[in-house]
Amino acid sequence: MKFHRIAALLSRHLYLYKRSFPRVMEIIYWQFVDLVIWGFITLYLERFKGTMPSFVTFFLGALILWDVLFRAQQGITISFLEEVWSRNLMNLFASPLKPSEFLAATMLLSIAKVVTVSFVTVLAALFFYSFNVFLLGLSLVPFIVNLIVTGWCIGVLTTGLIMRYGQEVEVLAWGLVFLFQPISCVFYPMSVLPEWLRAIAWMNPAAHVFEGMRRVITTGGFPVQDLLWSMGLNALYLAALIFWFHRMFAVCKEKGLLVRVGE
Amino acid sequence: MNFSYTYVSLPQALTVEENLRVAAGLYGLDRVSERIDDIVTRLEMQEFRSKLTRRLSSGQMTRLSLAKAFLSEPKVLFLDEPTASLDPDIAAKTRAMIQEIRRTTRMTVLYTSHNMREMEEMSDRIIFLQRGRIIAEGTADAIKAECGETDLEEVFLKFAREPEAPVHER
Repeated sequence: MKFHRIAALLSRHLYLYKRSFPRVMEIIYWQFVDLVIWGFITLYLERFKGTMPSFVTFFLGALILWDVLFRAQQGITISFLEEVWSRNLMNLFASPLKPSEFLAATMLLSIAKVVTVSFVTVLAALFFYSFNVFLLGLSLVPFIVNLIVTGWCIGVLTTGLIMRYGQEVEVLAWGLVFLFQPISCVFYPMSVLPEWLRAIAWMNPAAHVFEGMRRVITTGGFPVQDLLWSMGLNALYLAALIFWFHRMFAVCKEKGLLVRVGE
Repeated sequence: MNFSYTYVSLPQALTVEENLRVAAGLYGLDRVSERIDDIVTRLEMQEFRSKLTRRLSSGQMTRLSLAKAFLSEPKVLFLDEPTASLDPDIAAKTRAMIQEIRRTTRMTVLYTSHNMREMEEMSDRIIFLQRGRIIAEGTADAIKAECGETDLEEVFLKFAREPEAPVHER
């Protein structure tokens, strides 16, 4: 074993951090996200320990629904990265393919992924924990659809950033969605958050979905207000992000960045 | 319009035929199977038609890229160094295939290369570019005569070693 070879390899990786802010951020990012999420979960458990309904229903339900959002986002972003990795972007966009058609295809693919993964997750929850997600009722279906749309919003945002700034920010494909997790109130109610963060969470459609899910579980009723908020915000964000994506695509085309992404 | 560029690849996990079918879909082509059969025959790709793209040799990959480009029968085709990284035998065959398809389809081909012998063989008209400006334009013979050289390679070297070559008057 030679130290100079180990040092050479070490320097090969350290060079990357020297001029890559996203890579440096990634070092502290996950600890930060974990700390925030588990901190609020602890607060929630502490505050509601006497009155909280079934842990299993709350947490497994939340976990399965979060995965819906995550897979919907991945469906779009990973499809784009597949094209980057196979150096196929130029073939696609030199053809008559429009950015809107590209997004439509990735959205359809994300629905297929969500359905497949959810099927496996639901079966696993049933097999390992005897938890049947369908017992939560059909009223969850419109909320699930909204989670998919939120996933698309984050997916379009992530894809636009990767397209614009290249593989340097590829880590966003897996990381950015988790920045939304603390303010999505997946495992704890919005009321646990400090007031300033609650205001931010209120603007996140996913937070209304998870609030709605908890209301479905605790009251059995249909939380129309939560649904309307999530639908309205989703429609607004998706329209704005699709518009932004088209603008970003035009900039990338003008600057010739589509050829360079992936190099 | 279509193009073939050595440094742009196609999805590696798809077979040659699957890649051509996807390309046909993107260009909205009809008679897809017939067109694929035709281009596969013309470019002698039958033996690796069902092969995964990641298992192709450089020469086979170039032919796949050309097949993708020719499949849509574009009016204008951009070929960027189509024979780069090929051995001389495959490169000669590839050039012959391009010439044959160009002759039968009468498409306009914009061919970029640093190989001057190749340019002489392939081009009706040649344009030399330096820093985004046209510095020479015409047939190979006209450019050689204008520069007082007998070989296009010498013309290239002359331009490359003169940092500020005069802009060609069009």
